[in-house]
Amino acid sequence: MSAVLLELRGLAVSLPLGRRLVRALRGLDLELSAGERLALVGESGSGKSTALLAIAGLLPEEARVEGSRRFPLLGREVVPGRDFGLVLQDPFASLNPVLSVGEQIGEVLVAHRGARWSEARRASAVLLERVGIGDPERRLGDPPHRFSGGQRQRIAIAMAIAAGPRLLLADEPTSSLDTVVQSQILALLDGLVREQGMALLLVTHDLAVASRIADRIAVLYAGRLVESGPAHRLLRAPRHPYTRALLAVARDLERAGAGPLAEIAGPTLDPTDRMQGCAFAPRCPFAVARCTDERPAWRGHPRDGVACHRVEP
Amino acid sequence: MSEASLLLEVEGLAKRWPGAAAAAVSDVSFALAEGERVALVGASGSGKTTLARLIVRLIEPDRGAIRFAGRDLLALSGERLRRLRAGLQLVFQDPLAALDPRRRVGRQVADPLRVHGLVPRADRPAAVAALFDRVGLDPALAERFPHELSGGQRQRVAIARALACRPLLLLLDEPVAQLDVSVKVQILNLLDRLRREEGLAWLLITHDLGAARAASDRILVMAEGRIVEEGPTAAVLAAPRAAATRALVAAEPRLPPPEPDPGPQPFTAPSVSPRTM
Repeated sequence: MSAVLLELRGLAVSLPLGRRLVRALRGLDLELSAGERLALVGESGSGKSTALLAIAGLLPEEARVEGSRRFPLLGREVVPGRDFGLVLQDPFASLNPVLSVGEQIGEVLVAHRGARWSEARRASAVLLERVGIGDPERRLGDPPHRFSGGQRQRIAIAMAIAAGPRLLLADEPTSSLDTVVQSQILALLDGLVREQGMALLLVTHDLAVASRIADRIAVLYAGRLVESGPAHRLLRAPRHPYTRALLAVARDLERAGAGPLAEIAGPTLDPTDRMQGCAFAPRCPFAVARCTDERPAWRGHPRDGVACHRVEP
Repeated sequence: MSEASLLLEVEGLAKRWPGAAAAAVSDVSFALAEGERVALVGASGSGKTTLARLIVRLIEPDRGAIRFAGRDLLALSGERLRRLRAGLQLVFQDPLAALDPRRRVGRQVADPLRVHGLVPRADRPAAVAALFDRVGLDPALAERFPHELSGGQRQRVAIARALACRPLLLLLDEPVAQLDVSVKVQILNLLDRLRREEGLAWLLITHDLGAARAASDRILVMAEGRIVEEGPTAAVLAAPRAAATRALVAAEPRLPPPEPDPGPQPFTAPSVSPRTM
């Protein structure tokens, strides 16, 4: 197994909301190896985007953070852009609307690779071509709004990989794109990550997207990991009741015919609630009294295990 | 399908934006019957959104005809158009953009009741509560502002507001595209229940074949401003013929099949009977 590139231990993040505290993450343990492709899967409110912001060091100032984040293979100071690239759902959020795309990619190369501007221009054109932008020399001078949504995401990816980071963080990079473009962008990310030997942490709510690109899938529910495992195992033989329910719903939607679709019944956890037991217990068909009283410990390997009282050890 | 049952008829509709090289919508014709669920699918730029905007007359076509409930929609204006339009309601992808952030959602659901004079003022709170109930929302949520609701709850509010007009046809523009899968199926099930209970028809505009499969009986596939394929949803998606349909089907993110033999169940025998998942 490759060396550990990123390690989270007991990461808890709370954000003040009025007089209350939103518990976005409630203690996340996670490891990512060099070159590994991990999908962090969860629905709205699961804490997946908070986890990504915490890893990137981009949490808002008022956030209360406990636990640790380490990058054992990187230097003491971890610099965004140089050590990790970041791709967000909305490429406009990562692009400056008034600068040409060539200037923006060039800036990364000048800042983090010590390139001169003359070299940066050539290298930017190579990067644009690599992410599939046709006629790159000419397009360097265009501002972001001259490109389609899919092209803008390609440009954001070019910027994220420009400095050759060891880690690429991607938050729902294809969610605002149509399925045809989504499929192209996933193929592009897959190819780049493999070629450059980068590690990828992909945050998504879509298990099918995760299945296209991830070696391993980690499932978050209400701020905690409920299951993690190799993608093929987790998708074919999920163990946690939430993973099973989520997959059942997604598969039912894929083959939908007559009659109502399968749903996950029951209430979601109030994010301000100080939960004692398993957050999924109120919706879980297998829950027993212990599930609401006692937090399930992690069972199995850190990279292939589950947090559930009802799963056989 | 008899002529009398046709709810929406679109004939030879065309729209070219000034200066554009190609038409956004080019000679599109189709019909939709009462109570029918039709999906309009296509990639970005295929013209499906322009077609939807033409149907609700947010923009004017260069050519073509649109009949709704037997009336020529393009010939109407003013009060008569407004009255006919009440029967044709839009639900957008992003309810946060469609709802006024500064007003309580209950009042926004009451707006059409007031504007169209459907319910006297004294009865409006009860009518709003009934609408909330119909879309599976706690009527107490009527006092909330849009940002105080979840994405799924906001989409239910948008559907309740559309239902307030007692529409015959919903134009659903990517209504579940931004929702998590568990919320997505809840909204799709809600729409299906409303159709069965109220005989609603809809045109579902989407690039999501999962949503099209679940919420339509017939599918229209658009590419480059034209309808390139049309037929029963299940049959078209199982054996797509047009290149655009094949591309959509090939690009659909799908899960690998589950383990054929799951082996021993991971659970100790549950002491409670599992609910439907």
